[in-house]
Amino acid sequence: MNIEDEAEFREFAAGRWTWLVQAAVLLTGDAGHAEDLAQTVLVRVFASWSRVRAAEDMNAYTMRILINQNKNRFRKRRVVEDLTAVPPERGAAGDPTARIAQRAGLLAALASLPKRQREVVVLRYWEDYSEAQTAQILGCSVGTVKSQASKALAKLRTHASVLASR
Amino acid sequence: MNDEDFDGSALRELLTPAVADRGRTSAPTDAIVAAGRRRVIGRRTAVAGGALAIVAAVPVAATAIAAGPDSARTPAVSSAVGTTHSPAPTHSEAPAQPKGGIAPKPTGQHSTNAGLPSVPTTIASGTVEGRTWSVSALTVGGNNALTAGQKCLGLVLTVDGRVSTAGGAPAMPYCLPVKNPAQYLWGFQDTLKYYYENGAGTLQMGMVKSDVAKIVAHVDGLAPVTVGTVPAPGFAEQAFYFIPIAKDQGFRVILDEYDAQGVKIGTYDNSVPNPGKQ
Repeated sequence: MNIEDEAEFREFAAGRWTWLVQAAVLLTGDAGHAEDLAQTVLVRVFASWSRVRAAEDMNAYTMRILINQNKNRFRKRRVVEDLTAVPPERGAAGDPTARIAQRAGLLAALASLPKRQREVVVLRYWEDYSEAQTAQILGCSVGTVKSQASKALAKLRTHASVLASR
Repeated sequence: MNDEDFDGSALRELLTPAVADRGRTSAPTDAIVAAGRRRVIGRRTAVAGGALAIVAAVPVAATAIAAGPDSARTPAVSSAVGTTHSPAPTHSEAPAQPKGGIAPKPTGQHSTNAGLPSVPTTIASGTVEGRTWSVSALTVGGNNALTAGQKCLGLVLTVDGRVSTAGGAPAMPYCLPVKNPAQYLWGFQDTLKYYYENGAGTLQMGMVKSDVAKIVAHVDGLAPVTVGTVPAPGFAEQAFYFIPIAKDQGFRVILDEYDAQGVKIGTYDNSVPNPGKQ
């Protein structure tokens, strides 16, 4: 990688850092893991910078690396990542502590989803990719995206409804 | 919002507060670039008539571990004449056929504990476009945050007698965790490429699971190239392949993987983006 390419990569990395970390938080449910994951993704982006630059959608390409790296992380840490959903208790209206707990509850609910469902939720509703784009990034059919999204939303509905009603 | 109204469109709004304070620190770009450089190592080796540029995309983390070099199977080597799927042109028909060869030739002693070679051990060699090349392996230490707790195998490429090392250290470190290495079996299948700057050719190099016995590379305009895999010294579940291809970079190559019984068990197409397996 020449100096110009590296400068371009640095700009890309700096500009995507927050975006990557936040998506990684939603995928992993853990801020510490998320930063590690984001860093690993960017290292891989660096290593294949020419391919990333040539990609039709650099963000989608990077997101796909994030998804794959997160899969790898789960495979490596399959025991410790056996998360359990803990539905948040309904707190008093206007109680900021309760709201924080509910948000954490929503994150926990998201983290408790099966991996593929969580990926679909993050890509479809956080990243706002279309069903087709989500399917392309995940390497599955649009039908799978639809079905996984439906199942995921059904599980998240309770948490989201509680939080939104506050 | 009630249950019926909830269709996911509000999720972003609901989730935003939970992650709003995440990733607000500056990206550790220096550390990322430094780690990235360890993955992409460029080496220039001067050759008669010009410079030979070798750029290797190097996987740091990877797949699996540990068969000692002494257990290396004899590689099934042919030189650009494999014909698994289609009739192969003769050498005269194929442009600038490389004469690739994989010939594990352990030349050193090995650590019995780790299974890693304690001195440089040639694991593959051949010629491409008249250039002789060889790859030797040796043990290197895991000496950074990314390789902590891992054992590392370093590969050194030699072209026309010139060695591609980085300050005397192997240019291509493969680091894998010591603990529970089987968990990494599913991992990456990376391809290392060596670009010969003046279009002399390309040496495709990659890792596969150790049950891959043979690789057939299909490149447009060339006869299929068949090579046997080489067990990675010290890494039982991993094997390497080294495929000399008489084309410059930028071409499409499809690598078909076969087990010892000749059953096709995988395919890698370098033209298809495969993030996470770079």
